[in-house]
Amino acid sequence: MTDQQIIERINTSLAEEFELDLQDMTSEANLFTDLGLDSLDLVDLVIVLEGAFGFKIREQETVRQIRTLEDIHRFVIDKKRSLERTA
Amino acid sequence: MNYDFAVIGGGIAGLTAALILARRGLRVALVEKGERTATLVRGFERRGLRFDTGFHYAGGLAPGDILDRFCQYLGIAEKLSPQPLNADAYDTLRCLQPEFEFRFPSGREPLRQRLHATFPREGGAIDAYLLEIDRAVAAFPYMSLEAAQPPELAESPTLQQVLDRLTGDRRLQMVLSIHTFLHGVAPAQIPFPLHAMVVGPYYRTAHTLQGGGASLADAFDGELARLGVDTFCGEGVEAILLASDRVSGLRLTGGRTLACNGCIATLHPRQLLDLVPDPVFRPAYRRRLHSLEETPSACFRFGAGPEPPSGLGDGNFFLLPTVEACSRLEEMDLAPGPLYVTGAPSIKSGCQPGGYLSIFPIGTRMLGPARKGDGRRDAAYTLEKGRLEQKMRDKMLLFFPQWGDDWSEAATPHTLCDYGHSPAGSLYGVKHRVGQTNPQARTRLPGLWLAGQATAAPGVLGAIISAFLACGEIVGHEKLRQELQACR
Ligand SMILES: Cc1cc2nc3c(=O)[nH]c(=O)nc-3n(C[C@H](O)[C@H](O)[C@H](O)COP(=O)(O)OP(=O)(O)OC[C@H]3O[C@@H](n4cnc5c(N)ncnc54)[C@H](O)[C@@H]3O)c2cc1C
Repeated sequence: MTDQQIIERINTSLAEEFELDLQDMTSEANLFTDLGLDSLDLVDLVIVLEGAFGFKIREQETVRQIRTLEDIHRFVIDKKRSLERTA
Repeated sequence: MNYDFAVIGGGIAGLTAALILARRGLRVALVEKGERTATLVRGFERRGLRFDTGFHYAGGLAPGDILDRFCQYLGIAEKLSPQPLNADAYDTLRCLQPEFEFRFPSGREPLRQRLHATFPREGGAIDAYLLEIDRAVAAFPYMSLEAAQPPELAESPTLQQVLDRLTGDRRLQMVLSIHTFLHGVAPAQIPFPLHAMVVGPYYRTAHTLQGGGASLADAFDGELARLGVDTFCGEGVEAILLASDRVSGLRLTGGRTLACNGCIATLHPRQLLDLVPDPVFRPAYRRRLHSLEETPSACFRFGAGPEPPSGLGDGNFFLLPTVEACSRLEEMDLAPGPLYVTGAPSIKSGCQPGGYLSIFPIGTRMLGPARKGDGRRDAAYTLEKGRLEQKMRDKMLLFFPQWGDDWSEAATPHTLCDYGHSPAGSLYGVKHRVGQTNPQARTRLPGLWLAGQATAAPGVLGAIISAFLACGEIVGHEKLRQELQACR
């Protein structure tokens, strides 16, 4: 999976599961102020990403620091790459 | 009439939430679908005997202990008469393969000593386990008034992981796992803090209530009436109404609407989804609530015989065919899992057991529909029920070969569905298990909070704590804690 494919999968899953408009989903978009998510949604965000990529997310601290869509992209890409390396 | 708060569901969680809010002078309505409040814990009467259903015994009811303090706070303590169970054996565990018996004495120190005496080589493991239970209890909000945040269950070890770390002794593991029955989640799935929260209080003291679960329900009803809570029974909530994107009222099945500024929903999370208009919750949240796994359901057998086994008057039996039985709560067959037996006192003379009630956990969705479209009993169901009755009888005879019944009756998971208005007829609603995130008190709909056994923990104590967690979000946790502190 290329980085671009990962980003696309993240964006389409989030658009569907949080009823977001793909057009608003630029990398710089802030999840809370631009896309209207709140802290309660973070739990579901983790579950959606786990479902979309088939891995478990235990990095609670990193997740708490996520602010923009790009933060999510970077987090997932890093995690996927490091899992590929250890596989 | 415009209510400050409406509470959906009149089980222990809903009753508690209504009282917490009403005693602050708020105008509260409580809506319960069943004909009466707390049908789950009221039990029933047959042939002069009282059979308890959703409440048999609890920990923490000694004066000043955790559950007693909540009852004091709620103004119901005076109407309850806790009866200590047998101090030498409030619970008896009996395993067939290998043959083994352990009796749980009341009190943490007597328990520790008996464990040491029974497993002389495991002293270190026993002490470490009990300490970890104490620590987890002390970190659980409202179990201790110092704890603030609910534990991160997703990151917790399971009970099985803790036990494997401490001991390789299978019998000791069985003894320390038997009370998984009280939350319905197998050792390999239950987060340790949740297990500790449920069993910890029982390790301190074990009481039943004179008058059973019905006395608890009546005590709540009395206090609700005194505080002027309007209770609507026999009408379910059909929809949560919104105005300007926040809760504005409830529509009941009879067509009546209740206006309110806020609402606490205590029903099963899946039932909640039917009440909230579609776009309010995000698809991700809906899917999460929808796919929460259920605890097991159960079959029941109750009756009376000429000579009930001694020990049933003031204690319970946990009966295990094998040492692994605690891990097999969800089998589709009655044979491999554990079985719980408790006494049924006669209504006139109070405590002496005239009869018994036994509970056989079984996986959910194992029976076909009980009735056909025209409302008559389905023949296949009747046949299956007969088969289950025979299996229950056989299993009890394995443990009590002398067992004889003057009469007996049986109930299936369908009974639990109908009686508790629960969608799957599970014993404790949805599971609290590692790898699953249950809903919390806060929701994204302004004016809607959640409570009930699905949010905090199962059991009467778990349901009460769930109501404190929800009400604390509304009135401030600090305030509630200070008030509870004053109830010591
Ligand atoms: C067989 C059995 C034995 C048990 N033994 C013990 C025990 O010994 N000790 C112990 O501590 N715990 C015990 N428990 C567990 C304990 O009874 C429960 O965990 C607790 O009572 C749950 O309370 P609750 O308020 O969360 O849920 P519930 O009691 O299920 O309350 C939810 C309420 O919502 C109502 N409702 C549903 N839909 C609607 C609607 N649309 N509108 C309005 N109302 C609605 C339901 O009728 C129900 O009354 C036992 C449970 C079972 C099944």
